[in-house]
Amino acid sequence: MNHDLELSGVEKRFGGTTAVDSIDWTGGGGVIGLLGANGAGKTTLLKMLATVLVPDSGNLRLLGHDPARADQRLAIRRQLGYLPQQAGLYRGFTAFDLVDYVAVLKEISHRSTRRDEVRRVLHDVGLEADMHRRIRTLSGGMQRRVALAAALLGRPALLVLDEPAAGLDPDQRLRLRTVLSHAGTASTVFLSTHHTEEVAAFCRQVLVLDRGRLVFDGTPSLLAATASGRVWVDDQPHPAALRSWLTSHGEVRSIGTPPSGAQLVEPTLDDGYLLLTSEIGTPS
Amino acid sequence: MTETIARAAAEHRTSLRMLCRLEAKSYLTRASIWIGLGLTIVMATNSENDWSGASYEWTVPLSIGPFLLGVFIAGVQTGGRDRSSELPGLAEEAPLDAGERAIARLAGLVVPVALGALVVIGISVVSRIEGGFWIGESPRRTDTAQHSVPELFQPVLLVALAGATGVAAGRAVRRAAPVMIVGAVLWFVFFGMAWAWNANGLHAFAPLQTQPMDVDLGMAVSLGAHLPTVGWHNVYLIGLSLTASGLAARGAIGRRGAMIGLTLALIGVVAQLVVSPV
Repeated sequence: MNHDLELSGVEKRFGGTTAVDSIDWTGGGGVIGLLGANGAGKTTLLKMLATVLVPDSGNLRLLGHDPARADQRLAIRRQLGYLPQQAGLYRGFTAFDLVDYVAVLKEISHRSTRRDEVRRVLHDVGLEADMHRRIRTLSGGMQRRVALAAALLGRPALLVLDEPAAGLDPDQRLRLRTVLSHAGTASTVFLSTHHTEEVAAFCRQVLVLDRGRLVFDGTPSLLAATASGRVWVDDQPHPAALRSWLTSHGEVRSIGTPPSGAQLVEPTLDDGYLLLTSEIGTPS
Repeated sequence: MTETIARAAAEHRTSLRMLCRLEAKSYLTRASIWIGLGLTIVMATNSENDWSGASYEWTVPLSIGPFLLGVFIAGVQTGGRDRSSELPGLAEEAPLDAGERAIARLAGLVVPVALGALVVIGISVVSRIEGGFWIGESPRRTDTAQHSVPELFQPVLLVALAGATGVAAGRAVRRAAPVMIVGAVLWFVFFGMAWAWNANGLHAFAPLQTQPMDVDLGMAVSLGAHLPTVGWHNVYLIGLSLTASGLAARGAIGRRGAMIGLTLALIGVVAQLVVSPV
């Protein structure tokens, strides 16, 4: 079993709010998806995995090192790529110069090696034609791809991505899947997303965070299977349903305890995730 | 294992040097530096000559004023790169951390300092060719004078101080515009009103010190005299620059730099007051 990420009782608080609440989890290798609602603590957890935040309590080990110790944190950072939810890019730089600058920050100091690497990552995110445009002239999606290119520099052993698909068009999302799936063959890619279809498409493992607590750890198909026998369609919402919504086919899809005679359907990852988070939010 | 750690440390140092070079180059792209430099050259080549010693103090150090303001603004822009928006800093997870990036931005100031030195050297060469600056007719002395080497150092040190102060201010505040306004006001107080700092012991504290100074002989008579304070004033400026650099760098190394800087500044002030007759 891969132990790139080891969390034991990890907590992070901001004032009276507990953002991450006593998480115990060990894993790594391949692409791991983190699902959760807004405010579930995903970004805080990712910042800790990216060594940007330090846990208030508990033990965290990344790639076998303790990020709380300066020398070991440096060892982690040499093998780490991080895409924050919103990256503070230098708007006056060109895309090439900015990624080149980050490459220096990442200790890729040899000039020709660095330039080749910068071109490689810009190619991977599909920005080779726009690499000499200033950041301020790029669209939001393009800026997102510049930040992603910076995170991919040096083929990091651990890649932490906070909503990497946000702001990307369908073509770019497809490209992103390819890039991350490829990265996941040699590294641990840990990403947060609101899109269950992203997780279903290329994540080997999925974690679900709810109000700071880890409430699911398993494969995407296992998460979908938790809703097996608990999803049905009808022509109107049922009062016993935990959640109901109108689909594009004009039928109402519901999750929860189906009424007798309900037309059960095959659950999706979305159903599994919604059922899980709805049941947690429902008083027993 | 030890070899691996040593290689990693060497790679880290190489990257820091590379970053210093990148930051140095980036100062060359700052418009404020080139505008300031242009205005300084215009000022230096169109010196006032209304009273004895006017061109002497106008050319060095007063004419360097616009360049200093330009370097300060460039320092604020560079130091504040990671704070110019509500967004997190760039590549916070990278091995070269915020402190090292600030050190690189300070080290990059070598470029504006070198430009300042070139201007001063140019002024000095031209003035020596032309026979010096007119300082008025008085018995038992020449009518013209050249700036001494310590006097020529003063504007160069002021460039370092302006840049370091800019980087420190840029790193400390989120919005650059108010800092630039405060900087411009301070610049006016010290440069536009340089005459006000040129007497009564205030000269020891002012960043800008012009020579000759007015020595009050009593009975409403004063004498323009070169005081032996300029060398110690340079020590004071080195101290202030180190203090500003320490504030910009932060962390243990920053604190050490600031403490050494404050000590040097204090020594510089006390020594000036001791050697100065006014």
